[in-house]
Amino acid sequence: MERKRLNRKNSGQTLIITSLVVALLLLSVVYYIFEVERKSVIQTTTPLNSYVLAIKLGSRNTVISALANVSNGGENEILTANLDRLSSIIGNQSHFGKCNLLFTPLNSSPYQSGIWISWDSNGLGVSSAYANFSLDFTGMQADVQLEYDVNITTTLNVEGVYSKLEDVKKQVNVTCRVFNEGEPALAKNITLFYESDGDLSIQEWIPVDSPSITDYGNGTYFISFIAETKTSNDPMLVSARVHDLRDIFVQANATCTET
Amino acid sequence: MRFLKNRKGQVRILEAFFASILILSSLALVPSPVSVEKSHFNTLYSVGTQVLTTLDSNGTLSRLIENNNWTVLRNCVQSMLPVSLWFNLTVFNENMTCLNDVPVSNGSPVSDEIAAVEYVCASSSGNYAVYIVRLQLATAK
Repeated sequence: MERKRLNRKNSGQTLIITSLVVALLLLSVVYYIFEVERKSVIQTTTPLNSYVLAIKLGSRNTVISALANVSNGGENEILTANLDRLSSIIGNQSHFGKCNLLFTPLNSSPYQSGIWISWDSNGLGVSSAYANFSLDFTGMQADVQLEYDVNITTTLNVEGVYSKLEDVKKQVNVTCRVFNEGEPALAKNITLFYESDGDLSIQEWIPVDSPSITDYGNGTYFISFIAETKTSNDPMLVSARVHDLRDIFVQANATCTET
Repeated sequence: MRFLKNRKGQVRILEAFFASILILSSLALVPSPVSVEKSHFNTLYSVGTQVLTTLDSNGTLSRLIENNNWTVLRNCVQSMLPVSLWFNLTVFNENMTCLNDVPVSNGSPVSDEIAAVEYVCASSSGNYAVYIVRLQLATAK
């Protein structure tokens, strides 16, 4: 009778332990399945992310191309025309679903049809393009609605000093700084001009022949040359014309200060 | 006494229930061949898109296409892909006319299971053009 009671007690303990073990096993199995499912979801969305990234890169390249075109003498409308072409091609692709790329070139001041060109005489030149994009993607994997903007801006900053030499000769030192989207950037080429008499009413820009150029490698260029103006008291006006590595043209004029 | 016997039966049923849940759950862990195949293609797709995106990010891809520099393009793609991967790259213009007159490939396919990536490459130069780059990839089994 005593042994029977003991057996019954042991049986209860075994059942509790077994149920605990079973519960732990079940929990671990559920957790493992959850992890496997999660990994699978990540794997299936990766190609879609790459596809969206490629579309964003394409729209950025299109804006760069349009700005390069306009800054070199093209029409402002080229931005809309090129984006139309890109949007049409993307709309015809259907890898994961239907993709619709909408765009709006910025039309608020100082931008006009998404383009802002400002080549002032205060030492600052800006060539910029701006467009807003809306990407609607409907597919089996996911529905994506993404809004982003692309702002491509090449800025040129020109500062100069000069000192009088003999007769009408002047030693001129000019510092040019090139920026892409506000970050220092390299120039593909720099051409420098100076005004023959410092009077802008009748402009006669003389190209600087073989100037001494120091490239600091961080978008800053120090240019030194000797200029000959009509009279020794003429102000020294310089004009820097730059193509950045993306072929975007920017120009800035500045009045050098005498030292 | 009869009541006790009944309770034992209930515990057996519960045990059987838990055991069946365990067995059924383990079945869910067996990876289906379809999902393995899909993840294989997804990996190839991601690798291909990554290569093309990297080449396109600084305008190299469109510049090489514009200059018909197919040998350099082949070398670029080859250097960015694992050695075990086979690739074949074809460039089309907007009208889907093939532009590369020479094959941009690293040999003949190593497998029948080929993943294809179609990438829209917009030129960043002033002379705007849009290319459709098809990169086919396969891995040796």
